[in-house]
Amino acid sequence: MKRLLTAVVTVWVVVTLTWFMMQAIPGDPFQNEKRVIPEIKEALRKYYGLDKPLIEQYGIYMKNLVTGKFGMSFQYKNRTVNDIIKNGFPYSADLGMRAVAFGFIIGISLGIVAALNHNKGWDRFSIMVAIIGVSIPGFVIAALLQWTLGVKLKILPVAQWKGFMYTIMPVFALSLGMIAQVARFMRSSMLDVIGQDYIKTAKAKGLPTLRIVWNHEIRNAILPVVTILGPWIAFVITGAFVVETIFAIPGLGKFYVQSINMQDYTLISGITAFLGVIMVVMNLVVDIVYGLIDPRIRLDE
Amino acid sequence: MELRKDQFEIIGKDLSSAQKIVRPSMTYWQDAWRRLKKNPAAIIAIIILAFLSIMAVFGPYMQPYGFSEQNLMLTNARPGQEGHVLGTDALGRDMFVRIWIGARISLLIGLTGAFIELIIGIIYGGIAGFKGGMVDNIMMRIVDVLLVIPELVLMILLIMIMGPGLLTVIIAISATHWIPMARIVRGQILQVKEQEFVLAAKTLGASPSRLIARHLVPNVIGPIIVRLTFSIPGAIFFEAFLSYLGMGVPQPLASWGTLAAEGQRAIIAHPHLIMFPAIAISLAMLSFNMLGDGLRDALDPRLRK
Repeated sequence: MKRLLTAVVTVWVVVTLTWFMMQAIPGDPFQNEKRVIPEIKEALRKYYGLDKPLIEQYGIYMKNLVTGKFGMSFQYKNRTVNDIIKNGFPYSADLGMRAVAFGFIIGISLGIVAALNHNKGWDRFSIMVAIIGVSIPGFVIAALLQWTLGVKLKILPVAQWKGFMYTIMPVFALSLGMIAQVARFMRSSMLDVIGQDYIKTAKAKGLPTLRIVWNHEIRNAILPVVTILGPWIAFVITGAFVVETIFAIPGLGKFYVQSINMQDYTLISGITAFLGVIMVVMNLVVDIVYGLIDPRIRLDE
Repeated sequence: MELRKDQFEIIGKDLSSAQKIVRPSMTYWQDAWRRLKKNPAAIIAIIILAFLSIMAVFGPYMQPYGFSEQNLMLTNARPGQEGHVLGTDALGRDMFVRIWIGARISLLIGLTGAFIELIIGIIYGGIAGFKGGMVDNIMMRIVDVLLVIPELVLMILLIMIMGPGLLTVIIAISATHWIPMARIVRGQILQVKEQEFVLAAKTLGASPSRLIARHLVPNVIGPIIVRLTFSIPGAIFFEAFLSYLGMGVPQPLASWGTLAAEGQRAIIAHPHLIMFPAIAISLAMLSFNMLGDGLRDALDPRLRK
């Protein structure tokens, strides 16, 4: 319950912060318009409510937000921010979910295999992957993949998002960092668990190895890894911006970058608030899930 | 396995040899350096970083071109063409010079950003750890709230308020990443405050400077240095990330991030434009990470042998 409250407060903080900072930005939102007569400018300002005192603007903003209206985009004259978000989000969500799922599963598997083959082939391989994933930025990997697989070898399509083949490179590039961290964590977690006494007991009882690994080792080792899931989801979301730009995927990231370049304030603040909310919600979900799967926490509460 | 009595031989006890000092006595730093030298990855990392730093200083002078000198007759030249060792970019500027100017900017951002994080971290964490109690509690609550705000949101908003520029990028990055350092500083201080060896040393008559130099500092500073070594590649990464979003350092200044972002657009036709900055970024980050790992092992007092 306390977590829910914190989440709500944070969302409010994020939204308010975004709004304040948008106000603090020097420059006129209409400076990109070519030769607008002052009267028309005034009329536009009135229409967007920019001439009212700040407090009132804030009140209107919050009221609109709560009813789900993010306002009109300055840049795309006829589309509301709602529309843009609605159109772009599914792509980003698709990319993001695939990347997180892929990253988590592969990362865990790699970690498990590495721990079970401590200091042998797979272990060294996973350590290498971990180092590369952490050191080489995602967009470098993305660019590399795009160039080798897309241009030189021509096995995968270079850009856009029109079918399963299109998803392979972006998802891989986006998830590599996550795979590296998750594998590293899972590996050390597994190594810890394997050294525990209760595993010795299980072996002494004569349980088959597969059962030991599955029922005991993995279940216990996975817990610490879930704790880093939350921040990593946020990281994947931010990483998605760059990946979308590189692979020309029509998701939120691309619009966000564009809106920053065009100084489209309503769009920027709309997407920022939206993303902020998503990140907070995801963190909350991960927290709750962790509470559910860790029997120790359940017993405490 | 069966152990029989006749497999063992009594060699007796030699009191004098039992009291011999087995290892040469070294200070904490000498021991740490010795351990670091034994780590091949860390040594390679140091060599690479030394190379990058030297080239950052002297590189731009090794070619007769200025970093913003355009040559519109020779745009997008391939490496080795017409006297341009690494080719030219879309405006005909020499890539070799720009890469090393980029090195200056990126390394500057990395080091300055990490340094600012260090200062803020020491102040905030120091106060929290030293005062303890209520003050510490409140300060940590504030940090918890700050942490929930997505760092991307904060970074972007800061940059938009302050406008584009080198300083802006540095401030934006350090303002969103100082918290782990503060945590480490606070943790270290809390830990050392309770230690008995401090009391013991005082009782034996150690002077304050000896206390600080020989006891406090070695136990506190280790994780701080390690964290610092990881802050730098983080800053470099975020600088590149921001550049891809169009919020990096403004033209004609070049950082590895902006070079990579520019090169990205032409990756299909002119891959050399992104290849070199990308390699540079990866090398630098990899080296700092390896160095950090090595330092973490070398500076851990518990691993003294």
